[in-house]
Amino acid sequence: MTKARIQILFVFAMLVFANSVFAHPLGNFSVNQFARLEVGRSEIKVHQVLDMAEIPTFQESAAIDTDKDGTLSQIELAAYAANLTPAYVSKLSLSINGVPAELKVSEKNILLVAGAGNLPTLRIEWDLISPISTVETANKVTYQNDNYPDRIGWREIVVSSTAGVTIYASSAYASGLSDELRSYPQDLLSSPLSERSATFSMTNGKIPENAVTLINRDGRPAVSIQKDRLAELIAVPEITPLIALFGLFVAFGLGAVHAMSPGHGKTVVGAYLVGSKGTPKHAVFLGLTVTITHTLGVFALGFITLFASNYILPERIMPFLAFVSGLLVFFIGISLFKDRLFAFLGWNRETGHHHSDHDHAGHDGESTHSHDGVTHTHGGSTHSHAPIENLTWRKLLALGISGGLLPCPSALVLMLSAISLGRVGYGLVLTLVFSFGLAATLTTVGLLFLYIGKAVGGTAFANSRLIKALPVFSAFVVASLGAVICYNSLG
Amino acid sequence: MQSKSINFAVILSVSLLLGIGGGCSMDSSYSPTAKAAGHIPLSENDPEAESALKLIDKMPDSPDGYTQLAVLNIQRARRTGDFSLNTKAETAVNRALEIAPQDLPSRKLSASLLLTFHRFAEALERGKQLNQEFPDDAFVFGVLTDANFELGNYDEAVAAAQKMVDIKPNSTSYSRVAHIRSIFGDQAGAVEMYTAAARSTDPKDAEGQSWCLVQLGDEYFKYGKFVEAEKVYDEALSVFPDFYMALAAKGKLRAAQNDFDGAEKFLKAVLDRVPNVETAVLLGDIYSRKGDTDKAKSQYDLIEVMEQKIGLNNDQKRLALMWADQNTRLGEALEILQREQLARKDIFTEDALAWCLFKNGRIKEANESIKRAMRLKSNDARILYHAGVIEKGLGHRAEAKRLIESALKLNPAFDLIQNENATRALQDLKTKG
Repeated sequence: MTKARIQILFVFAMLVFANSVFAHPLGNFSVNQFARLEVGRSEIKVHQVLDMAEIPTFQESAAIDTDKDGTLSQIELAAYAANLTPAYVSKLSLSINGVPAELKVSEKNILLVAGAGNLPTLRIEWDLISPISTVETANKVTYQNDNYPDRIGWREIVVSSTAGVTIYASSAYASGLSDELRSYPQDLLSSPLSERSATFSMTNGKIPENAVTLINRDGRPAVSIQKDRLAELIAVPEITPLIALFGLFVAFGLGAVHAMSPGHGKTVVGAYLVGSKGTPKHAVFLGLTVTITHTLGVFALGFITLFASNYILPERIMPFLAFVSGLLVFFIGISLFKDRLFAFLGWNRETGHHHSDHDHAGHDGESTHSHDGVTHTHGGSTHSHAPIENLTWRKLLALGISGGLLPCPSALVLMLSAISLGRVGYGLVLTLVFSFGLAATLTTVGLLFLYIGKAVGGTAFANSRLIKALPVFSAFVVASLGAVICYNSLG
Repeated sequence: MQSKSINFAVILSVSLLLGIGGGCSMDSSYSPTAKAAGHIPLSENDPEAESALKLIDKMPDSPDGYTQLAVLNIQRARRTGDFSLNTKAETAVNRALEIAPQDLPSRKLSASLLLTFHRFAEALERGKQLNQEFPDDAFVFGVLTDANFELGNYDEAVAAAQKMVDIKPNSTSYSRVAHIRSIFGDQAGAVEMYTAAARSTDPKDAEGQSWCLVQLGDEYFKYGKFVEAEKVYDEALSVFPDFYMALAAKGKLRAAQNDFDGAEKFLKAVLDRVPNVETAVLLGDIYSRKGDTDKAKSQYDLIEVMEQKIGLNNDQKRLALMWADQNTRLGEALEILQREQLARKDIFTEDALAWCLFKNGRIKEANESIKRAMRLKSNDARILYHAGVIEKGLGHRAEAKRLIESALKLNPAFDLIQNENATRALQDLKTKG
C-alpha cells in the first residue's frame, strides 16, 4: 500500500528569500516533468517529478482547496496527490521487450514551493517500482510519459544502472540538467528539453559488439551508479551529531563486513602470515597500511572521476590498479616462496651454509653459543635460525598497499555522493572509517593466523615435515593469487 | 487588438527568417552526441535550434546564428502562444547586436520585439531611425505601421501601411491594410484584404495562413456574421490544426451562439496550453452565465494572477476593464487606465478609460474620452455600448438609445455579460421614453 508522505513548504517571505525563488525556463505557465530510471538486476525504479509553475498551480488550487477556505492544507494536498496519482501513473508506460510492465507507487511526496509574485508552485514526486521477473541477457526497455502532452514545459529523462547492469543503445542520457527540476539552466538561448520517452537496452552480461554504452550529456561515458547502504549514509537529509555518530559506526561495520566478501586479500594475508614470525604489532601495521592506501585510493579515484575523466577514464584506471596490486602480491609471494623453500631445505639464503651437517669445530668456546635461542654468531656475523626469517616491514608495507590499492566501489560511490552533496568533510571521515573497518577484518584474520600458528607451534604435530612444508605451500598460494589477479585485470 | 499588432510583427519575422535561413550554412555531418561547446546540450528533437547554436559556435563573431535563433523563437511563440519564447528571442537579438550593432536583420528584429513587449514608443523611434537609413525597407514600414497604430497615431499608421503595400504587396502588408480598414469601419474592404492576405501567404507557412483566416473570421464575427465566421475558423483549423487562436475563436463563437458547453470545451483546450487572458475572461463569463459562481470566480482570479501578480503579458488593460464591468476595484482600474492612456491614445485605451471614468462617477471626463474612442467610426459594438451608457448617464436618452441599439444590431453577442446589460438598458430607455 502506498505510503504518502506529505510535506508542506510555504515560503511567504518572498522579499527576504528572493534568491530562493527559482524561475521556470518556460515561464509561469509551464508544467515540467522529470524522470530518473534506475535499472537494477531485479527491478527498475523510476523517480518521477511533476513541477507546476505558478499559473497551473493556481489553476489546480481550486481543485485542491476543497473546504474553500483559501488555504491549501496538508490534508487537502494529500487528498489531491492521492486523487491525481492513479490518472498520472496510468499515463506513464514502461515496457520490457515490448511487454508492458506494471509500475507500482512505493512513495509519493507533495509540496508547495515559493514562486514568483508570492505565489506557490506545486511539486509532486513519485517513487515507482517495476520488478523484472525474467532477466534476459539483453532487454529492450521503453519508458514514455504521456501526461500533459500539449502543455508547455521542460521534459527530462535520465537513465542509470546499478552494479552489474550495463545500459547501451540508449536514447536518454545518464546525467540531468535541472537537478531534478530544482534548478533550471539559465541560458536563455538554449531550447528547453523535450524528452517525452526513452528507449534503451540493458544487460547483465556482455554488450553486443559496436553497441554504444550509456553516456552523459557532455558525451562522457556514464559511471554506473552503485547505490548501496554506505552511499546512503551520506544522503541523509540532515546530519545531526547523533546521525553522524551512527553513520561512523555503520561505516565501520560495513567496511568490516565488506572485507569478508571475496577478493579482499584475506587469503593473501593469511597465507603470508602462515609460518611467519609475526606479532600483533605487524598485524596492526598491516591494517593501517590497508586503511591509508584504501582511503587515499578512493580520494584519488573520486577526484579523477569528477574532474579529470576527460583525460583519464576511471574504467581504465581500475584494471591498471588491479594489475599493480596483483603484481605486488605476486612478487611478495615469489619472494616468500624462495625464502621459505630455502628455509625448509635448511639453506641459509645469505651465507649459503647448511646447518644440518655443520659442526661446532672451530668454536673457541669463548664465543657465546646457544641453540635454545634463535640467534647466534659465526665469526662476528649474527643470523637467525628461526624457521622463517623474512618478515620485513618493507614486505608488510607492500602487502598492505596491495590490499588497499584497489578502491571498493562502495567507498567510491560514497565519496562521489559526498562531493555532489557538498559534504566532503563528512564523506572523507566516513571513507576513512569504512577503510578502518576493512582493515580491521584483515588484521583480525592476520592475528587469528598468528595465534593459531603459535598454538600449534610447539606440538609434535607441528614438527611433522608436512606441517613444516605448509609455509612453503602458502607462499606458493600467495604468488599464484598475485598471478591470477594480474591475469584477471587484463581481461 | 494589441495581440494583432504583435502578430503583425512576428509575421514579418517569418519572411525575414527565410532570408536569414537561406544564408546559413548547415552542417550535414551533425551528430547528436557532438554537442555545441559553451551551450547546454539540447535534446535531439530540436535540430533547428541546435543548428542555430552550431552556427554560433562555428562563427562566433557573426550575428547570423543569433538572429536565426531569435527568428525561430519568435516563430514558435506565435505558433504556440508561449510568450516566454519572446524573451529567448530578445536575448538572442541582444547578443547579435553586441557583436554587430549595425546588423540590419538584428535591428529589425529588435524593433519588432519592442512591439511584442508593448514598448510602442521605443519601437516607433527605432522604426524611424531605420526608415531614415533604409527608406525602401518594407519591414521597417511594418514596424512604423504597428507602432503608430498602437499609439493611436492613425494617420501615420495609414501612411506607413500604404508605403509598405506599395513596396511589397504581400500577405504581411495586406493584413496591415485590412487591419486599418477594419478599425475605420470599412468592413467590406477589411474582408477583401484579409482574404487577399490569407490567399497570398506562403503555402509552407500554414500558421501564417491560419492566422490571417482567424482575423478574417473575427471581422465577420464583429458584425455578427456567425455562419461566415465559423466557416473561416474551420478553414483556419484545417490549415493549421489545433492552432490556439482558431480554437479560442471557435469557443468565442459557440458562446455567442449560447452553446456554453461547446464553448467551454474549446476554451479549456486553449487554456490548457497557453495563458490567454481574453480566453480566461470569456470562460469566466460562461461559468457566470451557467450560474457556477465558484468556477467563474476562479477564472477571474486567474486573470488577476496572470496580469497583476505575474505581469504575464505586460498589459493590465483587460484586467481593469473586467473590474469595471464587474463594478469592483474601480479605483485601481481607473489608475491602470490613466497610466495606460499617458503612454498610448488608441481608441481601445480611450474606450476602456471612458468606461472606468464612468464607473467611478466621472461622467463628463468619460464622455470626453469616449468621444476620442469614437473618432474613427469603428463600428465596434463594445465602444458603441459604452458610449450609449455614458450618454444615458448624461441624460441624452435618445442618443443613448440609438447607440445601444446600434451596438446590439451590430453584434447581439458582443460580450456574454455586457450584451445582457445592454439589452436591459435599452429596455429601460424604451420603457421610460
